Amino acid sequence: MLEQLWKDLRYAFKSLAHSPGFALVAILTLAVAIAANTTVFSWVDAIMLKPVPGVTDGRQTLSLENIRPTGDNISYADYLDFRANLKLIDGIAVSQEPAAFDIGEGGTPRRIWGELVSNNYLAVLGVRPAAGRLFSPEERSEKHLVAVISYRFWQDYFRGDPAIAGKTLRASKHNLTIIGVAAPGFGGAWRGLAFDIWVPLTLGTQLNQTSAGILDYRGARGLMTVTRLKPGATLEQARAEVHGLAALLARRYPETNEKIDATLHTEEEAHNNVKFLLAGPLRILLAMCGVVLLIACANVANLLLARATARQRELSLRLALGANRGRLSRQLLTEALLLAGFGAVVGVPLAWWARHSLSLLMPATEYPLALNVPFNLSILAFTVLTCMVATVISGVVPSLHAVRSDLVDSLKEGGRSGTSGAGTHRMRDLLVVGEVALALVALVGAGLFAKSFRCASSINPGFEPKNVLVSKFYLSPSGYTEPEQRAQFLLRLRERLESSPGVVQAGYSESIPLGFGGTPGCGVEVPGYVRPRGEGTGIDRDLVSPGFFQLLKIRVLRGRDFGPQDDAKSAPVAIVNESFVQHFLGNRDPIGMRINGCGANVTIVGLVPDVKYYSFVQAPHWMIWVPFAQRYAPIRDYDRGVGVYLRTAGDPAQALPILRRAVASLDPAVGVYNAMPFVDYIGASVFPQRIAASLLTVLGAIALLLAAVGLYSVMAYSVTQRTHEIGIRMALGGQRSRVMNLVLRKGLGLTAIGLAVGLIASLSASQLLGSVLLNVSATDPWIFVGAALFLAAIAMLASVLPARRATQVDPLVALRCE
Amino acid sequence: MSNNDVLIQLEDLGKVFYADEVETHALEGVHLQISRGEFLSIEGPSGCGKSTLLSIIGFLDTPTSGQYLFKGEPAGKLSFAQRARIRNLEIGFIFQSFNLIGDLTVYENVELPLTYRSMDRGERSRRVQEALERVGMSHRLKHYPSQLSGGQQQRVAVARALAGSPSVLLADEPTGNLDSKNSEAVMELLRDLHAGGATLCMVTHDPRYASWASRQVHLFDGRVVDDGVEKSAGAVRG
Repeated sequence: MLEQLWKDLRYAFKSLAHSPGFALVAILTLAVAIAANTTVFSWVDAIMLKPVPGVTDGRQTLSLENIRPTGDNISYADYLDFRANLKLIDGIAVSQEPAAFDIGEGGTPRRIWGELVSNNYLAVLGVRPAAGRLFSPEERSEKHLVAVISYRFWQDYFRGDPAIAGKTLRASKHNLTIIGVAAPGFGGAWRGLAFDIWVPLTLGTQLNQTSAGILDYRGARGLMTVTRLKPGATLEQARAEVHGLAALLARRYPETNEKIDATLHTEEEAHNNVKFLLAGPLRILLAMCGVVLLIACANVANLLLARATARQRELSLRLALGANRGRLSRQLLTEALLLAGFGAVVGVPLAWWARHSLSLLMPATEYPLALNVPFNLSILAFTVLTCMVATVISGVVPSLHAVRSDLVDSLKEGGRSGTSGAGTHRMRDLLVVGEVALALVALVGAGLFAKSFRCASSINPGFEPKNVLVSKFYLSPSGYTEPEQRAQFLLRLRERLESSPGVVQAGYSESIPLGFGGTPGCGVEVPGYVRPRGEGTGIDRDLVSPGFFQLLKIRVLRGRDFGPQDDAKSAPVAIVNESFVQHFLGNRDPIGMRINGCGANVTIVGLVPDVKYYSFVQAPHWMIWVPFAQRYAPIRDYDRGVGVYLRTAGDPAQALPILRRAVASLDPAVGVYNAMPFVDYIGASVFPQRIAASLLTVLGAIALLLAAVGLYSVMAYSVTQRTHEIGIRMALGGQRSRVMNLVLRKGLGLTAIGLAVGLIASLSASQLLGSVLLNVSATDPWIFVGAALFLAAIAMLASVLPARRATQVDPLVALRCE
Repeated sequence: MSNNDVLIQLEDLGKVFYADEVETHALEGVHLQISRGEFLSIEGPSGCGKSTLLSIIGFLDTPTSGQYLFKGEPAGKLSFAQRARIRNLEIGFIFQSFNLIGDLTVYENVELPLTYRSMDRGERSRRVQEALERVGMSHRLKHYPSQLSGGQQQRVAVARALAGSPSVLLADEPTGNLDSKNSEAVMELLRDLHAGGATLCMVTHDPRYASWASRQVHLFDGRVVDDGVEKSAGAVRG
């Protein structure tokens, strides 16, 4: 058996070596399809299938999230109740949004990112120490600020110092005692981000990384959770338990928890997880790769059919000498297998290289993105499976056709060896029809996502991001631990920037619209407004600089923008949006109205349109803006960072040196990190659409190319087969135009049937895309018609070349050939 | 002649081809016996059904009517796989156009039918060597068909037919693509094989070479007009 297989392989190799052109086209075709499939699977594997890197516990992690309109995070007090009372979960831990740490002193410090976490965080995840120890449950040393660092940072910064435990790390003007190193590869539970340091959440206020009351105030919902089910418990049971406990908390703490439900989400459902963002696009990409593989296989099947026809005499001879059909089919399948194998040999390095392209499409952000896509055995196993599928799909039809030939006729001198029968013609035509149909499905998919991306990107966010440079600053690591210090620094920075040539205007805000993290909330009470039961008092708020609305070209509809006069000494003022007025004031004029906002009695001085902070497609939501200099008592919280904006006359990227110079002139210890054009920064909001649109366009182009090659090869082959017939037609006086029409008619006929089938298939497939598309109908007629016309044009081109060749046939030569 | 000596027996055999509602009677009422050790030639004009008859004898095709007994066993209802097995074990084919596979060496071409049997490599090698020695081509083992003359290619084809030690060699116009010198050489080879005890059935339209057979069957319009038995017996008696 093995000897036979070896023999078949050897023969297949020799046979392919004798037809290098055919082999090259077939191998490259399969290589492209295999590379695309392997690449996308490597992303699926890294993002969807593999546990978080560095985590030993392979069980699925879950996230406990609140169900409320303005966010999903939970409060520390609720967390403690959940942790103490939930029986069906196996540990629950929390972490706060990413925290910046500046390492070292003097000069420009090195910026690393970390998390403030509950003491059981690393234990719940199942992380083991590579050196030292992890946090203990009672880790709360007031004298020693402790930290666990990443393996990467240990190797890089401490050069793998074996005596790391107990060493001091100077971070953000604090001395942190390193107690241990996390397992290699571990960078936190957020896939796609790689943190380097973990500090107990209980030490957050000392590090100025959390606000003072955050651990006690039940309404401060800023924590993300990670948990696992207890063995034997089902997700539904655990959800019911969480729901029950949330209801109990709502009854017990109505001021903060009324109507606030909670549930457990899988990684795919959890809003803070990259799986949630990418699951939809990745599934669609994988499906599209399947389409590309099918087209490639149909192409190779077509080539193999043509080749089997040319080898009819040899195959018939083998049958005459006693080979049975199964044996011969196996030999032909071996050829297909060898082609797929070579396809994999070419395709796998392509995939190895292309797997990093996902990182290139990741959004611009200040956070430490690290989408590690390892190449492992499961990916290679998937490639082998893809090869097998390719072998079967591309090899079965030709092998069955080849061994069903007429033996006697094929062996005759001058028999019909080398010409194909009606059955083979039909099969080849059928394959091309299938390819065109599949290519249309791919093109429609690519078109829908490209339009979705364009529509999402062109939604008016309520501000003008063009010609603006943005950079997020974290000042407390540089010693600006008090809000007043930070406000002073920012005021001076704004003045300095606005006096720099090339800068039209400068400003800042705590939350950056359409950035990561959204906005924090604060309570608002409006005189005369009767709050419906369970509405909650919290609304979104942002702290902004003077001239913020003018800077971002947000039109002030009524009243005025903030100015320098709105400082800590003046009366508290606020600006609200249209949704606020509609909701709380019933469209009454808000200017001059006094409300209790964010813990102070403030006067509304301005009205602006709704501005999108979370996403391009967020529903209108009431919001309040407060001058940065007036961050009154209850919101005197920790340093969440601040976005600094520069509006420039020209390319905003050119303004980066101006920003660096201005910052350095004020305080060289403050670093400028991740400054980028605002347009790029807000691209993160349409990141899933961008990934889907970019990659589906690439796959659509591949599908189109493969289908065109397939159609071309069938048409070219058909012309070769009909050379004699064309010769006779021309000898009898047929015009070249008629011959051309003859060939074109066939090509376009096949295309028309393929397009009809493809339109039906696309309509069915597009129903699955509805939930992932933004502002585009899944049956957008322009996309369908455009894709069909484009494909028809390409098909026309693929048919014209062979048709032109047909018109060049010399009747004399063609007739002599016979 | 005892029944055990009869290798092939055709009784009232007919073959009709159907194409576009047109029936073509290629063979009609053919009665023929071929005994072990016979060298039979089938002659007749083009289109008289010679090759069709040889294809049916060689299990490449099936009759439409009548009965075909091979070694006394009816061959009418054999499956494709069973017929493939008989072709492999019992029949050696020699074609007009040699039908060697261009991608295989001389050795591999001769070995080809043996690879379709469960035969170990050593035995295959021995048989290939022996067959090639019998046709005088053992010095061209590693050559490819394109490196050989037509006569040499046909000798390799004969070796391939011999290698499996078949019960009968079927030759379809074996000299049809050869010049006279090479034709003579191939015919001498066939005669030597017959002298060594082989059973041969050869289709030819060339009377020069038909006469080399011990028995000549004449076909006309799909019917056997002379089965050559009397002449053959006469020749034996004479």
